[in-house]
Amino acid sequence: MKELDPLLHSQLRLAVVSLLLSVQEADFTYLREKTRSTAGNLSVQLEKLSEAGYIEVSKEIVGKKPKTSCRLTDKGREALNAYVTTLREYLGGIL
Amino acid sequence: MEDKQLDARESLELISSMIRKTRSEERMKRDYGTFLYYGYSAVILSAAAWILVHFTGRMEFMLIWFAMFLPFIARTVFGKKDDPAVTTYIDDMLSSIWKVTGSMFWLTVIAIAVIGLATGEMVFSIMMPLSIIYAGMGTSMTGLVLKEKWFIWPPLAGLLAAVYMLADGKCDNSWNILFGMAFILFMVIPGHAAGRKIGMA
Repeated sequence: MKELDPLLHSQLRLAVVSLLLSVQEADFTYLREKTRSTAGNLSVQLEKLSEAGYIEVSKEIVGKKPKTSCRLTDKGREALNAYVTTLREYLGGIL
Repeated sequence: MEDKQLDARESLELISSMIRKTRSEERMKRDYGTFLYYGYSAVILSAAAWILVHFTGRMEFMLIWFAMFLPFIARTVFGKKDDPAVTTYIDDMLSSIWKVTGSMFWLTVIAIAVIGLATGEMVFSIMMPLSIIYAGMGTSMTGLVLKEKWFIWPPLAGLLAAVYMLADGKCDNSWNILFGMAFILFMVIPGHAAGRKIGMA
């Protein structure tokens, strides 16, 4: 049986990737509210996902405020798809 | 939320729960107010045009229809400037649909003006049936994307007014009534009906 992707097999990173799956783009505040995480922790996890190429992070100034936006990449989408397939195999073995 | 490890079942539940959150967000933020804004603007202008032409007998008052660009300009200049926290694929698609629809209005005005300069005759009255067709198509496509039946079929009924205008060809004061009724039918009524479903109107 395949190993679960360690990058996705953590609560916060999996929540972020799942949120980004059905939207085109979401900003940092939205992700923080929906995942009920702290800004520091979320920043660290976004950095890890971005380094792996699973998400794209863009920073811009809107009005006078900085805005950080995230979107899922094709690589991230494929990784989540493979992760869910492996999870189903795990559960299929148990049930 | 912590950075803790999950078991297989918890992971699947988390993925489902996050997807549900974004979908409920999508339903909540649908803004049918835009349809009411442009719908009522068209109805008010059609009533104003009808009253002015009826009581003065001067068709020059049909030029008041150029004020239809004012609601768009007002919304562009004074509308909310905040970037949305989340952009969905549906938002992007709807934005593209209305960009194309809006461009059709502007391009038609420019085309009529250019043709008018070349031929010496400006036929801006054709903007009325064309506006019903353009706005109706935009509204129908929006309804198809949102799967909101109130916006899919009423515009097709509104097109009857446009077909009558094109077949008749003679712009008179009755066109103002037809135009106003078409916008009530495919923007105002659907805007209220769809808005009531999400507790907005």
